Amino acid sequence: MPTAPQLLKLSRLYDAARRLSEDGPARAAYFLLVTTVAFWPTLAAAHLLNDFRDAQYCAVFEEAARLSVVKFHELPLWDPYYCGGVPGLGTPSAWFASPTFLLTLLFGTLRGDALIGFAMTVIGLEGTYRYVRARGGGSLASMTAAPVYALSGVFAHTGALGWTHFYGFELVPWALLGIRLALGGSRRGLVLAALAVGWMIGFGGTYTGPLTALAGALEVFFAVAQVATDARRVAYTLGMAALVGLLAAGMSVVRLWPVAETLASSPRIIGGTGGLSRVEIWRALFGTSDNHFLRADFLIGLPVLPLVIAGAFRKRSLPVVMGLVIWVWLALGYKLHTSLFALLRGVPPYTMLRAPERFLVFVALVAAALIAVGIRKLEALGRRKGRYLLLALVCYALVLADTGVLITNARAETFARPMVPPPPVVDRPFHQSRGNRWVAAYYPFMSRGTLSCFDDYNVAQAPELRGDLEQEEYLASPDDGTVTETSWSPDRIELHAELTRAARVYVNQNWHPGWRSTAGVVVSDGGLLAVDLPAGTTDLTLRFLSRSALAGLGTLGAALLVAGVLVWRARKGDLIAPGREALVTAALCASPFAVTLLAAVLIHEPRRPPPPLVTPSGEPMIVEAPPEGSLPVEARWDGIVLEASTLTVEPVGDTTSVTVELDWRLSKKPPPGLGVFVRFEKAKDHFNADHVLLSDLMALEDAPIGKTVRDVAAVVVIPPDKAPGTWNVYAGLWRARRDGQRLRILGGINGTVSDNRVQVGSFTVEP
Amino acid sequence: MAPGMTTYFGVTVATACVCAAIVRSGSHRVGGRTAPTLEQAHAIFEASAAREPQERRQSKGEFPASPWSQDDDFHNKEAKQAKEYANKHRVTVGGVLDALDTGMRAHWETASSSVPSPKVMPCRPRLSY
Repeated sequence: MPTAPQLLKLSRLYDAARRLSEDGPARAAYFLLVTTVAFWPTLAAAHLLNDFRDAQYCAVFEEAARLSVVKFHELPLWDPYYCGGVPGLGTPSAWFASPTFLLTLLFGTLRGDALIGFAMTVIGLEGTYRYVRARGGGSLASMTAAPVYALSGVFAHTGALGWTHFYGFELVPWALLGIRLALGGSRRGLVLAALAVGWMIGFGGTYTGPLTALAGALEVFFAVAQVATDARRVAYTLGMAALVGLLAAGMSVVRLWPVAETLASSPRIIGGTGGLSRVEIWRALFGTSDNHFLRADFLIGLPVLPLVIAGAFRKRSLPVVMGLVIWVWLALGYKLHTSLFALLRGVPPYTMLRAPERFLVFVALVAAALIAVGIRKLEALGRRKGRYLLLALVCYALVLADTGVLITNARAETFARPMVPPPPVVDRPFHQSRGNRWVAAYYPFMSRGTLSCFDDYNVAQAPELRGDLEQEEYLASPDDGTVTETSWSPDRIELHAELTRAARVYVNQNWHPGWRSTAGVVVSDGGLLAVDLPAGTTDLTLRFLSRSALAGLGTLGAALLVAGVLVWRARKGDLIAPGREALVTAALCASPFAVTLLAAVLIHEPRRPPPPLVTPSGEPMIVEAPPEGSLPVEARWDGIVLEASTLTVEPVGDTTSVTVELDWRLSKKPPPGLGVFVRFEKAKDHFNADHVLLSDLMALEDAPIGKTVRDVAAVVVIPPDKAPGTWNVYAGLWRARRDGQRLRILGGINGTVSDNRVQVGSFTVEP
Repeated sequence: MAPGMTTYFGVTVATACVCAAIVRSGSHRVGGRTAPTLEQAHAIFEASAAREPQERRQSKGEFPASPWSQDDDFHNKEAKQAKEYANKHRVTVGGVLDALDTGMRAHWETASSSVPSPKVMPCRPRLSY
C-alpha cells in the first residue's frame, strides 16, 4: 500500500489532471492529439484514392457536388456524373449537405475526405465527453472514456470502406445531449439537438437518423419515467420532445424530402443480414484471440470490459443498462425467437433497415457512459479512503490502454485499405461515358459521367442512355433539324434548336420531375429527359430546380433563423417556462414548415408517372385469370395462391433462354418484405432467379387482392456449359427482407417437393 | 499548472495538431505515371472491344437470371483489365478508362470489328451480396 505522502501526491496529480480535463482548450488538445495519432496514416494517404468499390461510388457524389460549386458556381442539386443523373440531395449516401463540405471545397474531395474523418472524430470525442458528463460521469473519466465511442471500431471500419457518411454517428452524443437538456426545458438544448440531427441527416446514410431517433426516444422514455407521477411535468417533457422533433425535422427537410422522393420512385429492395449471434456480438465488440483482441468491426476494446461491468452496477446506470440491453437485443436481429428487430421493422422508416448489427454502434456509447459513471464512484470513495483513489488510477490506466487498442485498430484498418494513385484531372466538356461503377470515382475528375452504376436501391435510370454520343443532346431524326448545346452545367443546359417540324429533343440524362424548361414541354421518354419543341428556331434553358430541394433549402434557412432566435433568447434565460412561453416556442419551431407548405403549394411539379403495369413483353400484368395454356399449380400459402406457371424455352445461338411466368392471386394483404424464390436444378447443377418485385414492378404486398398478377421474370440465359439435361424449376415464397426464412406452403396440385417449395415446370435441353 | 497556462498550453497543442493534420494530408504528391499514348489508347480499345463478347458470355454464366448483374460482372472484369494494363504499362488507370471512352465515342475501327455496347442495364441490385 502507498504511504500517506504518496497518496497525497497522487491526489494532487489527480486534481491537476481533473482540472486539465475541465479546461476546454486543454481537453481539445487531448482529443486532437489522440485523433492525430489515430489518423496519422490516413492523413499520410489523403492524396490517394480508396479503390474499394463502395469508396469509389461514394466519392463520386462528393466530387460531383464539389464540381457544381467550384467549377460551375451553382448549388449541387443535380448530379449528372452517376447513373445518367440523380438528384444530389436525394442521394442517400451523399454527405455534402453538411458543414464538412467546406473541407472538400478547400482541400478537394480526396484530401477533404481524410480531414472530414479527422474533424468528425474530434467532434465525436467532445460530444461523447459532454454526453457522458451529463449522464453523471466525472470530467476526467468522461474525457478518457470518450474514445471508447468516438474511436470505436465502427468508425475505423466504415471509414476504411469509404462509407464516410457513417461519421454522422459521431454527432449522436451531441443529439442525445441536446435532447436531454431540451427535455428539461433548455432552449440551447433544443437548438443543439436540432442542429445535431439536421447535420447528421444532411451527412447522409439511411441508418444514422432512424437509429438516433430511437436513441432519442429512449431518452424521452426515461425522462418521462422520472416524472411519471406528475401529469403536468409528463406533458411538459413530451411537449419538449415534440419541439425537438419539430425543429430537427425543419432542419432535415432539405434531405428528407428528396431522399423520400428517391426511395418512393426507386424501392430499396436489397435483402439484409439476419443479425449476429451472441458469440458474434462478442467478437464484433472485443475481437478474438486470433487478432489479439485488437481488431473488430465495432471494437470497444477488452481492457474496459471490467469497468463497463462495474459501472453497470450503479443505481444511476439503470437507464443506460436498459439501453444496452435494447441495443444488443436489436443487434441479435432474427437470431432470437423473440426478435425486437423484427418488431421494429414493422414501423416506417425502420422497414428499410437491413443490418441489425449496426445497433452495436450505440453499445460503445453506453460503454463510455458506464465507464465514466463507475470511475466517478471510485473517485468519490477515494476522497474518504486512499485505496479507492488508487483503484481509480488503475481504471484510468485501463481506459488509456483501451484508447491505445482503438488507435491500433484504426491504424490497422487504414493500412488495410487498397489505396491507388488519384484520378487524373481532365477539364473538358462533359459527356456521359458507359463508365464503370467499380472505378466510378475516376469519371467526374475526367469530366465524364458513368452510366454503369450501383446503389442499394433500383435507380430510376433510363435504358436508352448512351455512352458513345458526340453530342449529349440530339433529335430522333436528322430530318427534324439541328440542336446545339450552347452552355452546360449540372443544373442548367442551354440549347439552340432549329427545327423543320415539331420534334422531341433528347438529353442524354435521366428525367426527373425537377427539370424545367424555358420553352417547350419537358417529358420523360422512357425515363430519358426530353423536351417537345415546336417547329422553328428556339433558344431554351433546361434547369434542374426540384420542389423538394427548394422547399428543403427554404425550410432549412427558416429553421436556422429560428435556432438563432432561440439562442438569442436563451441569453436572458435558458429555461422555457410552461404556458405562454412554451406555446410561443412551439409556434417558432413550427414556423419553418410554413415555407415547406408554401413551396408545396406554389411550386408545381409533375408527378413521376407510375410505370405501366405490363409484363416485359408488354402484356397486361393484372388480369382476371392466368393465360391460356399455363400449367395449373394452385400452391397455397396463407392468403396467397400460385395459380399457374408458364415456362417458355427458346434456343438463342449456343445458349438456351428461359422465361418463367408465375401467376399469383392474393386473398388478403400479405406481410411486408416477402420475396419470390425460383430455383433451377439439374443433377448437381443449380442457380436461382429470386426476386422481390413481380414483373420487376410491384412488391407482393402491393399487389391487388382478388386478381391474377402475372410475374414474368427477366429472361434466364443458360450458358452452353450448363445446359444439356433436364432442368426442374421450383418456386416458393420467403421473407427476403426479413429473416430469410421460407414461408410454409400449405399444398398444391403438383404437391410440395420439400423445403416449402413447389415445382413449376421442367424442360430438357438436348446436348 | 495555473488556469491561464492550461488554456494557453491547450490552445497551442490543439493548433499544432490541426496544422499537423492539414500539412500531413497535403504533403505527398504522386507522379511518375502518364496517360497512355494515342497508340496505346487504340491498343487498349482494340483489346477491350475484342474481349467484350466473350467476357459478357462468361458473365451470363455467372448470373443467368439477373441482366443487371451480368452487365455489372462484365464491368468488374473490365475494371480489373484496366488496372492490370495500367500497372503493366506504367500508365494511369484513368488514362486507360479514358481510352475506352474515347474509342467508343469516336467509333474507332477495330481489327475484330467488335463494337462495344454503348448502353448499360439500369441499376437493379441483387437481393443479397
